[in-house]
Amino acid sequence: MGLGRDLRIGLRVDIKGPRVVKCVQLEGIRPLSTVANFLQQANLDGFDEICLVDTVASLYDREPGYDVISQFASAVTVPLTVIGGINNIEVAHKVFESGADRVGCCTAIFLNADLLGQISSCYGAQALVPSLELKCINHPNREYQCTYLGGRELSKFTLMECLRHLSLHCSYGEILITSVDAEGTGKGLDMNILDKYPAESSHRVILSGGIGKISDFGVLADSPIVSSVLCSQLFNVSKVDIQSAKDFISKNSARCLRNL
Amino acid sequence: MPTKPLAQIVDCYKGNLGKLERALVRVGFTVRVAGLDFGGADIVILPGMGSLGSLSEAEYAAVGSFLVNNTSIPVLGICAGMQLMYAGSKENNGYVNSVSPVNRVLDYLEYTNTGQKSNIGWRGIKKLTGGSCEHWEAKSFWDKEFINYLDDTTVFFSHSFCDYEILSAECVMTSETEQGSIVAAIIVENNFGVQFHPELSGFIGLEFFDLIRTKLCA
Repeated sequence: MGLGRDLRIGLRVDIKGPRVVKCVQLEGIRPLSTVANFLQQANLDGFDEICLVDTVASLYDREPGYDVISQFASAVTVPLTVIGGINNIEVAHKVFESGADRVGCCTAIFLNADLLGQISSCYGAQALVPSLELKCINHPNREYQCTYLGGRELSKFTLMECLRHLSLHCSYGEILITSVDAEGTGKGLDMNILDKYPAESSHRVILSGGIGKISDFGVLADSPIVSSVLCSQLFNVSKVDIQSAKDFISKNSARCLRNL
Repeated sequence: MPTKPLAQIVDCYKGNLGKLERALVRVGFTVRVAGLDFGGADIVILPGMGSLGSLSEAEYAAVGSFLVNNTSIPVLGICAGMQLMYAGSKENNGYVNSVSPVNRVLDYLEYTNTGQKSNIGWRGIKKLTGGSCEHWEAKSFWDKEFINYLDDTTVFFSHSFCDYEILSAECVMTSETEQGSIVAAIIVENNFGVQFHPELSGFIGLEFFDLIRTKLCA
Protein backbone atom coordinates (compact mmCIF):
# COMPACT_ATOMS: atom_id res chain seq x y z
CA MET A 1 0.00 0.00 0.00
CA GLY A 2 1.39 3.44 -0.89
CA LEU A 3 2.11 5.75 1.99
CA GLY A 4 -0.32 8.64 2.20
CA ARG A 5 -1.88 7.42 -1.03
CA ASP A 6 -3.92 4.63 0.42
CA LEU A 7 -7.66 4.97 0.07
CA ARG A 8 -10.42 2.93 1.63
CA ILE A 9 -13.84 2.53 0.09
CA GLY A 10 -16.41 2.23 2.83
CA LEU A 11 -20.09 1.44 2.84
CA ARG A 12 -22.30 3.86 4.75
CA VAL A 13 -25.47 2.21 6.02
CA ASP A 14 -28.13 4.52 7.43
CA ILE A 15 -30.42 2.89 9.96
CA LYS A 16 -33.74 3.84 11.44
CA GLY A 17 -34.92 1.22 13.93
CA PRO A 18 -34.78 -2.21 12.27
CA ARG A 19 -34.64 -0.77 8.74
CA VAL A 20 -31.91 0.30 6.37
CA VAL A 21 -32.92 3.70 5.02
CA LYS A 22 -31.70 6.32 2.59
CA CYS A 23 -31.75 10.05 3.22
CA VAL A 24 -31.28 13.05 0.96
CA GLN A 25 -29.37 15.85 2.69
CA LEU A 26 -29.97 13.92 5.92
CA GLU A 27 -33.73 14.38 5.54
CA GLY A 28 -36.60 12.59 3.80
CA ILE A 29 -35.78 9.20 5.23
CA ARG A 30 -36.82 6.45 2.79
CA PRO A 31 -36.83 2.77 3.81
CA LEU A 32 -34.75 0.45 1.60
CA SER A 33 -35.07 -2.89 3.35
CA THR A 34 -35.01 -4.61 6.70
CA VAL A 35 -31.63 -5.11 8.31
CA ALA A 36 -32.03 -8.88 8.00
CA ASN A 37 -32.72 -8.72 4.25
CA PHE A 38 -29.93 -6.21 3.72
CA LEU A 39 -27.40 -8.46 5.47
CA GLN A 40 -28.52 -11.47 3.43
CA GLN A 41 -28.04 -9.68 0.13
CA ALA A 42 -24.98 -7.46 0.65
CA ASN A 43 -21.38 -8.60 0.23
CA LEU A 44 -20.08 -6.51 3.11
CA ASP A 45 -16.58 -7.99 3.33
CA GLY A 46 -15.80 -6.61 -0.11
CA PHE A 47 -15.74 -3.12 1.41
CA ASP A 48 -12.77 -1.77 3.32
CA GLU A 49 -14.93 -0.68 6.21
CA ILE A 50 -18.57 -0.34 7.19
CA CYS A 51 -20.06 2.75 8.80
CA LEU A 52 -23.41 2.26 10.50
CA VAL A 53 -25.30 5.50 11.13
CA ASP A 54 -28.43 5.63 13.27
CA THR A 55 -30.04 8.60 11.56
CA VAL A 56 -32.47 9.63 14.26
CA ALA A 57 -31.15 8.31 17.59
CA SER A 58 -29.83 11.67 18.76
CA LEU A 59 -32.78 13.57 17.33
CA TYR A 60 -35.24 11.38 19.24
CA ASP A 61 -32.91 11.15 22.25
CA ARG A 62 -32.86 7.37 22.19
CA GLU A 63 -30.10 4.81 22.50
CA PRO A 64 -28.61 3.13 19.42
CA GLY A 65 -30.06 -0.19 18.27
CA TYR A 66 -27.66 -2.60 19.95
CA ASP A 67 -29.25 -5.63 18.27
CA VAL A 68 -28.70 -4.08 14.85
CA ILE A 69 -25.06 -3.29 15.69
CA SER A 70 -24.59 -6.86 16.84
CA GLN A 71 -26.12 -8.24 13.63
CA PHE A 72 -23.73 -6.17 11.52
CA ALA A 73 -20.75 -7.08 13.70
CA SER A 74 -21.56 -10.76 13.23
CA ALA A 75 -21.79 -10.35 9.48
CA VAL A 76 -18.51 -8.53 8.77
CA THR A 77 -14.81 -9.16 9.21
CA VAL A 78 -13.79 -5.61 8.31
CA PRO A 79 -13.84 -2.59 10.65
CA LEU A 80 -17.26 -1.40 11.81
CA THR A 81 -17.79 2.21 12.88
CA VAL A 82 -21.04 3.08 14.63
CA ILE A 83 -22.48 6.60 14.80
CA GLY A 84 -25.66 7.97 16.33
CA GLY A 85 -27.13 8.26 19.80
CA ILE A 86 -23.86 7.99 21.74
CA ASN A 87 -24.47 10.61 24.38
CA ASN A 88 -22.72 9.21 27.46
CA ILE A 89 -19.91 6.81 28.26
CA GLU A 90 -22.24 4.00 29.31
CA VAL A 91 -23.88 4.04 25.89
CA ALA A 92 -20.41 4.03 24.29
CA HIS A 93 -19.48 0.96 26.35
CA LYS A 94 -22.62 -0.83 25.14
CA VAL A 95 -21.94 0.10 21.52
CA PHE A 96 -18.41 -1.34 21.74
CA GLU A 97 -19.70 -4.42 23.52
CA SER A 98 -22.26 -4.88 20.74
CA GLY A 99 -19.46 -5.12 18.20
CA ALA A 100 -18.38 -1.64 17.10
CA ASP A 101 -14.68 -1.27 16.42
CA ARG A 102 -14.87 2.51 16.43
CA VAL A 103 -17.54 4.94 17.53
CA GLY A 104 -18.43 8.25 15.97
CA CYS A 105 -19.90 11.22 17.79
CA CYS A 106 -21.59 14.20 16.19
CA THR A 107 -24.18 15.79 18.48
CA ALA A 108 -22.00 15.15 21.57
CA ILE A 109 -19.30 17.38 20.08
CA PHE A 110 -21.59 20.34 20.71
CA LEU A 111 -23.64 19.21 23.71
CA ASN A 112 -21.20 17.06 25.72
CA ALA A 113 -17.67 17.39 24.35
CA ASP A 114 -16.12 15.85 27.47
CA LEU A 115 -17.61 12.55 26.37
CA LEU A 116 -15.20 12.41 23.44
CA GLY A 117 -12.25 12.74 25.83
CA GLN A 118 -13.66 9.95 27.97
CA ILE A 119 -14.01 7.64 24.97
CA SER A 120 -10.50 8.28 23.68
CA SER A 121 -9.00 7.80 27.16
CA CYS A 122 -10.83 4.54 27.65
CA TYR A 123 -10.57 3.00 24.18
CA GLY A 124 -7.66 4.83 22.55
CA ALA A 125 -7.62 7.76 20.15
CA GLN A 126 -7.92 5.49 17.13
CA ALA A 127 -11.28 4.20 18.34
CA LEU A 128 -12.91 7.64 18.25
CA VAL A 129 -14.21 9.29 15.06
CA PRO A 130 -15.59 12.80 15.50
CA SER A 131 -18.33 13.16 12.90
CA LEU A 132 -18.86 16.60 11.41
CA GLU A 133 -21.97 17.24 9.32
CA LEU A 134 -21.26 20.44 7.43
CA LYS A 135 -23.63 22.76 5.66
CA CYS A 136 -22.55 25.49 3.27
CA ILE A 137 -24.12 28.67 4.73
CA ASN A 138 -22.48 31.45 2.77
CA HIS A 139 -22.39 30.50 -0.87
CA PRO A 140 -20.17 33.22 -2.34
CA ASN A 141 -17.48 32.59 0.31
CA ARG A 142 -18.35 28.93 0.81
CA GLU A 143 -18.22 28.97 4.60
CA TYR A 144 -19.15 25.68 6.21
CA GLN A 145 -21.03 25.51 9.47
CA CYS A 146 -21.27 22.39 11.64
CA THR A 147 -24.72 20.96 12.26
CA TYR A 148 -25.96 18.37 14.73
CA LEU A 149 -29.07 16.35 15.57
CA GLY A 150 -29.03 14.77 12.12
CA GLY A 151 -28.36 18.05 10.32
CA ARG A 152 -31.39 19.76 11.88
CA GLU A 153 -29.57 22.17 14.19
CA LEU A 154 -26.91 24.65 13.18
CA SER A 155 -24.04 24.90 15.69
CA LYS A 156 -22.06 28.07 16.33
CA PHE A 157 -18.89 26.47 14.91
CA THR A 158 -17.37 26.68 11.47
CA LEU A 159 -15.17 23.76 10.43
CA MET A 160 -11.96 25.39 11.72
CA GLU A 161 -13.59 26.47 14.97
CA CYS A 162 -14.86 22.96 15.50
CA LEU A 163 -11.39 21.46 14.92
CA ARG A 164 -10.00 23.82 17.58
CA HIS A 165 -12.86 22.86 19.91
CA LEU A 166 -12.06 19.16 19.40
CA SER A 167 -8.35 19.68 20.06
CA LEU A 168 -9.23 21.02 23.51
CA HIS A 169 -11.31 18.00 24.44
CA CYS A 170 -9.94 14.79 22.96
CA SER A 171 -7.45 12.83 20.92
CA TYR A 172 -8.77 11.04 17.90
CA GLY A 173 -7.52 9.13 14.88
CA GLU A 174 -9.50 10.17 11.85
CA ILE A 175 -12.36 12.60 11.38
CA LEU A 176 -15.54 11.99 9.39
CA ILE A 177 -16.77 14.91 7.31
CA THR A 178 -20.20 14.66 5.73
CA SER A 179 -21.45 17.29 3.34
CA VAL A 180 -25.11 17.80 4.25
CA ASP A 181 -25.69 19.56 0.93
CA ALA A 182 -24.24 16.73 -1.15
CA GLU A 183 -25.40 13.76 0.94
CA GLY A 184 -27.84 11.52 -0.91
CA THR A 185 -27.93 13.70 -4.03
CA GLY A 186 -25.55 11.62 -6.12
CA LYS A 187 -24.10 14.82 -7.57
CA GLY A 188 -20.53 14.15 -6.56
CA LEU A 189 -18.34 14.89 -3.53
CA ASP A 190 -18.16 18.47 -2.26
CA MET A 191 -14.39 18.87 -2.49
CA ASN A 192 -14.63 22.57 -1.53
CA ILE A 193 -14.92 21.43 2.08
CA LEU A 194 -11.34 20.18 1.92
CA ASP A 195 -10.16 23.67 0.93
CA LYS A 196 -11.20 24.71 4.44
CA TYR A 197 -9.46 21.75 6.09
CA PRO A 198 -5.89 22.40 7.35
CA ALA A 199 -3.40 20.53 5.20
CA GLU A 200 -1.01 20.19 8.15
CA SER A 201 -3.60 18.40 10.30
CA SER A 202 -2.57 15.19 12.03
CA HIS A 203 -5.94 13.69 11.26
CA ARG A 204 -6.86 12.28 7.89
CA VAL A 205 -10.41 12.63 6.66
CA ILE A 206 -13.16 10.13 6.00
CA LEU A 207 -15.29 11.92 3.42
CA SER A 208 -18.98 11.20 2.96
CA GLY A 209 -21.79 12.48 0.83
CA GLY A 210 -22.43 12.85 -2.86
CA ILE A 211 -20.92 9.87 -4.68
CA GLY A 212 -23.57 8.86 -7.23
CA LYS A 213 -21.57 7.26 -10.00
CA ILE A 214 -18.21 5.59 -10.32
CA SER A 215 -16.57 8.51 -12.10
CA ASP A 216 -17.21 10.66 -8.99
CA PHE A 217 -14.20 8.94 -7.39
CA GLY A 218 -11.96 10.71 -9.90
CA VAL A 219 -11.65 13.86 -7.76
CA LEU A 220 -9.89 11.88 -5.02
CA ALA A 221 -6.78 11.31 -7.12
CA ASP A 222 -4.99 14.32 -5.64
CA SER A 223 -6.39 14.42 -2.11
CA PRO A 224 -4.07 12.38 0.10
CA ILE A 225 -5.67 13.91 3.22
CA VAL A 226 -8.71 11.74 2.41
CA SER A 227 -8.07 8.29 3.84
CA SER A 228 -11.50 6.89 3.15
CA VAL A 229 -14.68 7.70 1.29
CA LEU A 230 -18.07 6.47 2.42
CA CYS A 231 -20.75 5.71 -0.12
CA SER A 232 -24.39 4.87 0.38
CA GLN A 233 -26.36 5.84 -2.72
CA LEU A 234 -23.89 4.19 -5.11
CA PHE A 235 -23.91 0.78 -3.47
CA ASN A 236 -27.22 0.64 -1.59
CA VAL A 237 -29.48 2.26 -4.20
CA SER A 238 -27.68 2.07 -7.55
CA LYS A 239 -26.30 -1.38 -6.61
CA VAL A 240 -22.92 -0.75 -8.20
CA ASP A 241 -20.37 -3.49 -7.53
CA ILE A 242 -17.52 -2.50 -5.18
CA GLN A 243 -14.93 -4.11 -7.45
CA SER A 244 -16.04 -1.91 -10.37
CA ALA A 245 -15.45 1.15 -8.23
CA LYS A 246 -12.00 -0.06 -7.21
CA ASP A 247 -11.10 -0.89 -10.81
CA PHE A 248 -12.02 2.66 -11.85
CA ILE A 249 -9.91 4.23 -9.10
CA SER A 250 -6.95 2.00 -9.89
CA LYS A 251 -7.07 2.93 -13.56
CA ASN A 252 -7.55 6.65 -13.02
CA SER A 253 -5.36 7.54 -10.06
CA ALA A 254 -2.27 6.54 -8.14
CA ARG A 255 -4.34 5.84 -5.02
CA CYS A 256 -3.56 2.47 -3.47
CA LEU A 257 -6.46 0.20 -2.70
CA ARG A 258 -6.81 -3.01 -0.78
CA ASN A 259 -7.06 -5.83 -3.27
CA LEU A 260 -9.53 -8.58 -2.56
CA MET B 1 -5.49 -33.24 20.82
CA PRO B 2 -8.53 -30.94 20.95
CA THR B 3 -10.90 -30.80 17.98
CA LYS B 4 -12.17 -27.39 19.05
CA PRO B 5 -9.30 -25.78 20.94
CA LEU B 6 -10.16 -23.45 23.80
CA ALA B 7 -9.05 -19.89 23.16
CA GLN B 8 -9.13 -17.66 26.21
CA ILE B 9 -9.58 -13.99 25.44
CA VAL B 10 -8.25 -11.98 28.36
CA ASP B 11 -10.79 -9.41 29.47
CA CYS B 12 -8.21 -6.90 30.65
CA TYR B 13 -9.47 -3.55 29.42
CA LYS B 14 -12.57 -2.00 27.92
CA GLY B 15 -12.95 -2.81 24.27
CA ASN B 16 -14.83 -4.70 21.61
CA LEU B 17 -14.11 -8.35 22.25
CA GLY B 18 -17.11 -9.53 20.23
CA LYS B 19 -15.50 -9.24 16.80
CA LEU B 20 -12.52 -11.29 17.93
CA GLU B 21 -14.72 -13.86 19.63
CA ARG B 22 -16.91 -14.26 16.53
CA ALA B 23 -13.89 -14.66 14.23
CA LEU B 24 -12.41 -17.37 16.45
CA VAL B 25 -15.71 -19.25 16.71
CA ARG B 26 -16.14 -18.98 12.95
CA VAL B 27 -12.93 -20.94 12.31
CA GLY B 28 -13.68 -23.57 14.95
CA PHE B 29 -12.40 -22.40 18.32
CA THR B 30 -14.25 -22.67 21.59
CA VAL B 31 -13.91 -19.25 23.22
CA ARG B 32 -13.81 -18.21 26.85
CA VAL B 33 -13.62 -14.58 27.92
CA ALA B 34 -12.06 -14.34 31.39
CA GLY B 35 -9.32 -12.78 33.51
CA LEU B 36 -5.80 -13.97 34.16
CA ASP B 37 -6.67 -17.53 35.22
CA PHE B 38 -5.79 -19.63 32.18
CA GLY B 39 -6.61 -23.13 33.42
CA GLY B 40 -7.50 -25.45 30.55
CA ALA B 41 -6.90 -22.93 27.80
CA ASP B 42 -5.08 -24.09 24.66
CA ILE B 43 -4.17 -20.56 23.65
CA VAL B 44 -4.36 -17.18 25.38
CA ILE B 45 -5.27 -14.10 23.39
CA LEU B 46 -4.60 -10.58 24.60
CA PRO B 47 -7.16 -8.57 22.63
CA GLY B 48 -6.50 -5.49 20.59
CA MET B 49 -9.31 -3.07 21.08
CA GLY B 50 -8.67 -0.83 24.03
CA SER B 51 -6.25 1.54 25.66
CA LEU B 52 -3.30 0.56 27.83
CA GLY B 53 -4.02 3.78 29.70
CA SER B 54 -7.10 2.14 31.21
CA LEU B 55 -5.01 -0.62 32.87
CA SER B 56 -3.92 -0.33 36.49
CA GLU B 57 -0.22 -0.79 37.31
CA ALA B 58 -1.09 -4.03 39.12
CA GLU B 59 -2.90 -5.41 36.07
CA TYR B 60 -0.03 -4.41 33.78
CA ALA B 61 2.50 -6.07 36.10
CA ALA B 62 0.39 -9.24 36.38
CA VAL B 63 0.26 -9.66 32.60
CA GLY B 64 4.01 -9.00 32.28
CA SER B 65 4.80 -11.54 34.93
CA PHE B 66 2.60 -14.19 33.29
CA LEU B 67 4.14 -13.62 29.86
CA VAL B 68 7.70 -13.95 31.14
CA ASN B 69 7.02 -17.03 33.27
CA ASN B 70 4.67 -18.83 30.86
CA THR B 71 6.36 -21.83 29.32
CA SER B 72 3.36 -23.88 28.26
CA ILE B 73 0.57 -21.93 26.57
CA PRO B 74 0.96 -20.08 23.26
CA VAL B 75 -0.03 -16.42 23.64
CA LEU B 76 -1.23 -14.17 20.83
CA GLY B 77 -1.23 -10.44 21.52
CA ILE B 78 -3.20 -8.27 19.10
CA CYS B 79 -2.45 -4.54 18.75
CA ALA B 80 -2.77 -3.26 22.34
CA GLY B 81 -2.32 -6.91 23.34
CA MET B 82 1.05 -6.96 21.57
CA GLN B 83 1.92 -3.72 23.32
CA LEU B 84 1.29 -5.44 26.67
CA MET B 85 4.34 -7.57 25.88
CA TYR B 86 6.50 -4.46 26.21
CA ALA B 87 7.86 -2.97 29.42
CA GLY B 88 5.70 0.10 28.97
CA SER B 89 4.06 2.60 26.69
CA LYS B 90 3.64 6.34 26.73
CA GLU B 91 -0.07 5.53 26.55
CA ASN B 92 0.16 3.98 30.02
CA ASN B 93 1.08 7.18 31.87
CA GLY B 94 4.79 6.35 32.03
CA TYR B 95 4.42 3.11 34.02
CA VAL B 96 7.21 0.62 33.24
CA ASN B 97 7.03 -3.10 34.10
CA SER B 98 10.02 -4.57 35.85
CA VAL B 99 9.51 -7.87 34.00
CA SER B 100 8.23 -8.15 30.45
CA PRO B 101 9.10 -10.13 27.30
CA VAL B 102 10.32 -7.00 25.50
CA ASN B 103 12.37 -4.54 27.50
CA ARG B 104 11.41 -1.38 25.64
CA VAL B 105 8.86 1.42 26.00
CA LEU B 106 6.52 2.17 23.12
CA ASP B 107 6.42 5.68 21.76
CA TYR B 108 3.89 7.82 19.97
CA LEU B 109 3.69 7.08 16.27
CA GLU B 110 4.12 10.82 15.89
CA TYR B 111 3.17 13.74 18.08
CA THR B 112 2.94 17.16 16.46
CA ASN B 113 1.56 20.54 17.48
CA THR B 114 -1.71 19.52 15.83
CA GLY B 115 -2.04 16.36 17.93
CA GLN B 116 -1.03 12.74 17.87
CA LYS B 117 -1.13 10.77 14.65
CA SER B 118 -2.72 7.37 14.23
CA ASN B 119 -1.93 4.65 11.72
CA ILE B 120 -5.36 3.55 10.52
CA GLY B 121 -5.98 1.55 7.39
CA TRP B 122 -4.98 -1.44 5.30
CA ARG B 123 -1.22 -1.88 5.11
CA GLY B 124 1.15 -4.43 3.67
CA ILE B 125 3.31 -6.49 6.04
CA LYS B 126 6.55 -8.28 5.28
CA LYS B 127 8.67 -10.77 7.14
CA LEU B 128 12.03 -9.53 8.31
CA THR B 129 14.61 -11.57 6.51
CA GLY B 130 17.96 -12.21 8.14
CA GLY B 131 18.74 -10.47 11.41
CA SER B 132 18.69 -12.12 14.76
CA CYS B 133 15.07 -13.26 14.75
CA GLU B 134 15.78 -16.83 13.71
CA HIS B 135 16.12 -18.28 17.20
CA TRP B 136 12.43 -18.83 17.95
CA GLU B 137 11.93 -21.57 15.41
CA ALA B 138 13.10 -24.58 17.37
CA LYS B 139 11.52 -23.87 20.73
CA SER B 140 8.17 -22.21 20.25
CA PHE B 141 4.68 -22.98 19.00
CA TRP B 142 5.07 -19.96 16.75
CA ASP B 143 7.11 -21.32 13.88
CA LYS B 144 7.85 -19.88 10.46
CA GLU B 145 4.66 -21.21 8.97
CA PHE B 146 2.77 -18.31 10.55
CA ILE B 147 5.25 -15.73 9.34
CA ASN B 148 5.31 -17.18 5.85
CA TYR B 149 1.53 -17.14 5.66
CA LEU B 150 1.32 -13.47 6.71
CA ASP B 151 4.22 -12.38 4.53
CA ASP B 152 3.19 -9.95 1.77
CA THR B 153 -0.44 -9.75 2.86
CA THR B 154 -2.53 -6.63 3.44
CA VAL B 155 -4.04 -6.33 6.89
CA PHE B 156 -5.83 -3.71 8.97
CA PHE B 157 -3.95 -1.49 11.42
CA SER B 158 -5.48 0.91 13.94
CA HIS B 159 -3.05 2.29 16.53
CA SER B 160 -1.37 5.45 17.79
CA PHE B 161 1.70 4.00 19.57
CA CYS B 162 4.37 1.77 18.06
CA ASP B 163 7.82 0.21 18.16
CA TYR B 164 10.32 1.52 15.62
CA GLU B 165 13.08 -0.98 16.56
CA ILE B 166 12.72 -3.21 13.53
CA LEU B 167 16.24 -4.59 13.94
CA SER B 168 15.57 -5.81 17.45
CA ALA B 169 15.82 -9.50 18.28
CA GLU B 170 12.04 -9.81 18.75
CA CYS B 171 10.89 -8.27 15.47
CA VAL B 172 9.82 -10.79 12.81
CA MET B 173 7.59 -8.68 10.55
CA THR B 174 7.55 -5.02 9.55
CA SER B 175 5.19 -2.54 7.95
CA GLU B 176 5.65 0.85 6.33
CA THR B 177 3.90 3.94 7.67
CA GLU B 178 4.15 7.62 6.81
CA GLN B 179 6.50 7.90 9.80
CA GLY B 180 8.79 5.06 8.70
CA SER B 181 9.12 1.31 9.19
CA ILE B 182 7.47 -0.08 12.30
CA VAL B 183 7.43 -3.45 13.99
CA ALA B 184 4.37 -5.34 12.72
CA ALA B 185 4.95 -8.59 14.63
CA ILE B 186 7.19 -9.90 17.40
CA ILE B 187 7.95 -13.34 18.77
CA VAL B 188 9.43 -13.96 22.20
CA GLU B 189 9.31 -17.60 23.26
CA ASN B 190 5.60 -18.54 23.47
CA ASN B 191 4.43 -14.99 22.87
CA PHE B 192 3.46 -13.81 19.40
CA GLY B 193 2.44 -10.16 19.13
CA VAL B 194 0.90 -8.59 16.04
CA GLN B 195 0.36 -4.85 15.73
CA PHE B 196 -2.46 -5.32 13.22
CA HIS B 197 -5.95 -6.71 13.75
CA PRO B 198 -6.48 -10.21 12.27
CA GLU B 199 -10.13 -10.07 13.37
CA LEU B 200 -10.67 -7.00 11.14
CA SER B 201 -8.58 -8.17 8.21
CA GLY B 202 -11.15 -10.13 6.24
CA PHE B 203 -10.28 -13.62 5.00
CA ILE B 204 -6.55 -13.11 5.67
CA GLY B 205 -7.27 -12.82 9.36
CA LEU B 206 -9.69 -15.74 9.37
CA GLU B 207 -7.15 -17.98 7.62
CA PHE B 208 -4.49 -16.90 10.10
CA PHE B 209 -6.74 -17.93 12.99
CA ASP B 210 -7.52 -21.19 11.20
CA LEU B 211 -3.81 -21.88 10.82
CA ILE B 212 -3.43 -21.50 14.58
CA ARG B 213 -6.40 -23.79 15.21
CA THR B 214 -5.05 -26.41 12.83
CA LYS B 215 -1.66 -26.46 14.54
CA LEU B 216 -3.24 -26.68 17.99
CA CYS B 217 -5.22 -29.71 16.77
CA ALA B 218 -2.24 -31.44 15.18
